[in-house]
This record gives sequence, structure tokens and C-alpha cells, in this order.
Amino acid sequence: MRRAAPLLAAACALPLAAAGCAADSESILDADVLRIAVQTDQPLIGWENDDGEYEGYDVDTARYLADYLGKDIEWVPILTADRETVLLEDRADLTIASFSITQERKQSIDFAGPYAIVHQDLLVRADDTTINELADIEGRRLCSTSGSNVADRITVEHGVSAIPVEAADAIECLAMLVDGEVDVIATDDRILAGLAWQSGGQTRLVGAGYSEERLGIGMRPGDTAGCEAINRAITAMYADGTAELLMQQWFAPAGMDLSSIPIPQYEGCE
Amino acid sequence: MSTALTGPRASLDGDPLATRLDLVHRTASPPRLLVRAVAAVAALAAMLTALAVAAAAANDALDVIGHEAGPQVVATTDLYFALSDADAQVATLLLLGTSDPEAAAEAETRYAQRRGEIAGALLEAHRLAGGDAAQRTTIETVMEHYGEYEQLAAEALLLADQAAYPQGEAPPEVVAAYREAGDLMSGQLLPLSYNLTLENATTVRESYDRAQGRIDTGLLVVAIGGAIALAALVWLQIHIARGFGRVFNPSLLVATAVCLLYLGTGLTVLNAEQSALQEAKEDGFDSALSLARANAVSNALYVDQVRYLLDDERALVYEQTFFDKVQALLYVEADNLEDYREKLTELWEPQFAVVPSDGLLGAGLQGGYTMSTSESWQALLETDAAMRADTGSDASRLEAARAAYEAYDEDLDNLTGEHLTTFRAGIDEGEKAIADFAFLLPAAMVALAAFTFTGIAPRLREFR
Repeated sequence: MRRAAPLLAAACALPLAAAGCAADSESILDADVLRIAVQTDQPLIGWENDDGEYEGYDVDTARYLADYLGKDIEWVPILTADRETVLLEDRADLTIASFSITQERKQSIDFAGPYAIVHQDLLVRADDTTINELADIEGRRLCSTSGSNVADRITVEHGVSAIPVEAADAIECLAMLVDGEVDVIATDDRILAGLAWQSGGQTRLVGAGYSEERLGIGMRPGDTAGCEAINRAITAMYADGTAELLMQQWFAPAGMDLSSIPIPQYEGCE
Repeated sequence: MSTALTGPRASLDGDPLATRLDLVHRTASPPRLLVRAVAAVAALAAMLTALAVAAAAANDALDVIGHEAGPQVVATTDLYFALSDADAQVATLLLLGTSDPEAAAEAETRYAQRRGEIAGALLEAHRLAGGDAAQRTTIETVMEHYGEYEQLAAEALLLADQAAYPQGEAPPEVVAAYREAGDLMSGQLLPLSYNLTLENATTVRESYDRAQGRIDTGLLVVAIGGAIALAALVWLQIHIARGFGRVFNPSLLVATAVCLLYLGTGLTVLNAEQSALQEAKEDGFDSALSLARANAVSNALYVDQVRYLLDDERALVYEQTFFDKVQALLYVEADNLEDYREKLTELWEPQFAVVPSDGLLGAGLQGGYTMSTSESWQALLETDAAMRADTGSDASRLEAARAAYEAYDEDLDNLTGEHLTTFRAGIDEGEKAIADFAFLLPAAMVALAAFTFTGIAPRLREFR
């Protein structure tokens, strides 16, 4: 297959023919504006504030990375269920939205990063003392957002059968929890810290930390140079202290334990 | 050419010699002759320069892959492995407590050995980083954190000594002390060294892509330059034939032949160089890289097993990170570990019928390398299942897991070694081909220029 490449490339080197040869090597590095998909339903992470601006840890991460790469941002607001499709349907270039890297997801999209390491945890009503570890949610009503793999993984990976309840977004889950329609919300601890903060003391983070998640930046497959450039930007974000600053800024008020912030070990760009 | 010659000759009458001289010299003059000769030599120079530039680009890329970033990839994965295995020994010692002194002594020896290797690997990585300031800073950060790790590990080991507990009954303060060390290892030291490996892989890819681009351009320029040089030589020949009535000029014929030869050889060598480079990168470097990463991740996989036994509170996390690493090493779509083992057994019945190509291990298992590593991988997973189901003593559970890991690690080492050999051989071969060729280039240029000018020299003399 490579045999024909030199000739083809030689033809591409001619200025006149160049226009027709750029087809399949599309990289985010070639664009001036990055379309970045962020969640809009996660307080402290990806959230639309009262002034109609996006804010939160993931949003600030997006800003840092785009700035590092010298790109402008066009925000693409999404919910959990859209994270993969916005990329595959070419509506966004990057997804920065509490998106765990899994080998299964890697079959259809690529990931740069991870840009953060988090743990899956549980959020319950403040007065509910019956749930203290993962096994305690057996038979209880478990809320998760559609498009997330949390409920599935609790059942098949950890063998705990809770009663799954799906909601469109995290805020809806929180409302159901507070109203007693569900008993527990499971997702990563940053999101739960945000929800707990949002609920103003009506909920409690269990601290069950039953799984380690590596949050990655979703990309269309095949853009190795773009993926490596993002990893370099993340390295800079951790090396210059921005990552820690952002963690403190967003999650310290929510009472998260930030004593050791792990550096992400990259997935690698293929 | 023949019609051009018969034309003037057919019209000869009177004094044949005078008329002939008159006729031939009407179109020929020293400036015209020189312009054509210089054009031919300039085109030859352009062609040979393009050849030299493209060959140098290939050489640079081979240098980066073979002698700079390539070895750094090996050094940083060695560092990762030594760090991770040192941590495995600390966790082992804490898990065993006062039971099984023999195994504990072995772990202690290995811990000491790994510490030496870490120091060596750090120095080597620092040396190879050369002028790369960012890499040096990262390595220095690893050095600092490693100092902290040793201290935390020493504290945990001291607490364990004082508590003197039997296997599997590490008191909470020992587990807490270890957690701090373990978190530093998994949260800082290992990612920093792993990312260094990947950063060097990026350097390799960049210089590879650059070299391929230059060779592509080189091929084009050589082809065009060669064609122009040939045309200029023919043009010069025709000019001499018409202007001086000489059909063949031996020197110019030789120059043309040498030019053709170099054009052909140049294109062939560049093409071969491109393939050699591609082979060194894609078959050699890429699979050696993913196996080196597989080695590193596999050791971390074993650490997850030890930690699973040591830290009950976090056992669920360590089981999940184990599964995550299993999937990253050899991907099979599966819901959990049990499902994974079943699916793998199905795929490998009969005898490794389907070898998954996804994952760090997957690439290295393709084509003739399958057997022993696959067998020991499967054995490792079966042993892991038994370890998790077993209610026996922690020492015996660990013993079985360690034996399975060590057998697998040995096979993986051999497999990595084979791929590294392929990689180094590819680099050597590419460098040798270029060296032979580059040596001949200046000689060719001098010879071609000499032949061209000796070809026109007698004709120039006719004007004196």
C-alpha cells in the first residue's frame, strides 16, 4: 500500500496539484477555531451561569488548551448522551465533558489526555445513613444520566444490582434525589461535589471511591499530531500549576479532598 | 539528429572543407556551447543536491529514531519498570508482615536492587535528554518525588516492623502510610516517567514525518532535475553535432550515461531509504514501543494485585484498575474480568485462532510471536481469578499471583527483546545504505562536471 505513496506525495508536492491532496489528514491543528463540546448540566464542571456564560473546571481546561494551541473557541453545549455523537457527526472537534476513557469507547473515537483522574463515588440524601459503601446500594434506586455507563458498570463490573433510573441531566438526578424519588446518584466525585454544593447541604458525598476514572478529551480518530499537541498542553497545564489552581478554585469550596492531585498518565496517541 | 546533419551536407559544393567550416560554425559559438554545458552541469548539480538533501533527511530521522529519542524511550520505560517494581516489593513486604521470612527477604533484596536501577535509569534518562530543557526538568521532578517516595516507604516499613503483624493483617496506620507512598508512586512518579516515554515517541513520529516529507520532495526534485540534466546533455550533443559535424562525443556520452545511472540509482536508493525508514519506524520502533509500554503497564498490573490484597478498603478500586489495564494490554470486548477470560478462551480455541490486535500487547503478538506470551497471559488471568476467589492465606495467594506474573514477564521480556533486535537491525541497515550512497555522491558530481567540460573542450579549441 505504501508503494504508491511516494509518487502520490510527489504529485502532491506540485503546487497546482496540492489542493486535491489534503483530504484525509485533517487535524485540529489546521483550524483557527476549535469547536469544543462541554456539558451544561454539571455545576463547577460544565455549567451555564446566570450571565449565560459557560464556566467550571472542564470549561477552564478547554480555555487553557485552546489558548496553548493558539485557537479560538466555538462552544458546543451538550449533555452526557451527546458526547460521542457530536464528534462522529462532526459537530464538534473536541469533547471535554467528564468523559471517561474506556477501551470500548476507543473503538469508535480517540482520546487525548487524560486531563484529570477522578474516582466514582455516591451521593445520597444528607439524612440517609444506610448507604456507606457500594454494596449498600443493592436494591436501591440509582440515578444516572443517559449516555453514562455508570449504572451498567456497577451491575456488571461490581455485581451490585441497584434499580437503575435514568435522567436527562445531572440536575434532574439531584432534584429526584432531594425529592426522595431515587436514593443515590453515582458518577465521578467532582460532579457529585458540584451537585452537593448545589443542593446546599441537603445531600452527602459518601466517599466510597469504588473506581478510578481517567477523564479524557474526545477526538475524531486519526489525528495523531493533534492528540499529541493536546497532551503537551496538558503537561504544561500541570507543570505550571494551572491544574492545581483550577482544582482548588472550583472544588475546594465544595469540600473535596485535594491533598494529592494525581498527574494523569497519558493514554497515548495512535 | 540525422536529418539535421544531412541538411547542410547535401548542399555542399565548391571547396568542401571551407564551406563545411563556414556552415558548421554559423550556428556554433563558444558562448552558446558554454551556456549549454553550464545548464547541463547546473541541472546535474540540482539533481545531486536534492539526492544529498533527501539522504541527509533520512539519515537525521534514523539518528533520532535510532540514537536519541529511540534509546530514551527504552531508558524511560526501564525507569518506569524499576519504579513500579520497587513499589511492588514495598507492598509485598507490608502484606507479608512477619509471616514467610524467606519471601520477605527476597522482596527486600529486590527492593534494594530496583533502587539501584532507578538511580541508574534516572541518570541515563537525564543524559539522553541532552539539551531538552523540558525533559530535564521532568526528570529532575521525578528525582525529587522519588526521594519523597523512599522516605514514605521507609516510614511504612518501619511502622510495619514495630507492629510485627502476621500476613494480611497490616494495621490501619501501616496501610495509611503505604497509601501515601503508593499514591505518590501512581499519582506522580509513574505518570511522569510514562509521559516522558510518550513525549519521546512524539519526537520520533515528528522527525519521521518530516523525513518522509523531505524524501517525497527529494524524489520529485531528483526526477525533474534529472530529466532537465538529461535534456541539457542531449541539447548539448545536438548542438555539437550540428555545429561541428560530430555525431558522437565520447565524454558527453559517458556523462549522459553516468547521469542516467545516478538518476536511476538515486530514485531507487531514496525509495529504498523511504521503505527502510518506514520499516524501522512502523515495524521496529512502533512495536518495540508498545511492548515496552506493555512491560511497564504489566508491572503496574501486578502492583494492583498486591495492593488489592493489602488494602481492603480500596480493594474495589484496585480490582477495577486491574481490569482497566488488562483491557489496555489486550483488548477483548467484555463486561468484567470473568467475562474477559471467557471471551478470550473462546477466541483462542483452537490454539490462538484469533489474536486480538488492539492494545499494547496486541501489536507485538501478531505474526509468529503468539505462543508463549499468549499462554502465560492466559495463565496470569486464571491465577488472578483463583487469587480473588481464594480464601486461603494472603502469602499463598500472593505467591501464586507472583509466580504467574513472573512467568508472563519473562515471556514478555523475550518478546520485547526480539522486537528490539528487529528495530536495531532496521536502523543499522538504513544507515549503512545511506553511508555507501552519500560517499559516492560528491565523486559523481565531480566526474559528471569533468566529463561534460572535457566533452566541449576540443570544440572550444576550434575557435582559437
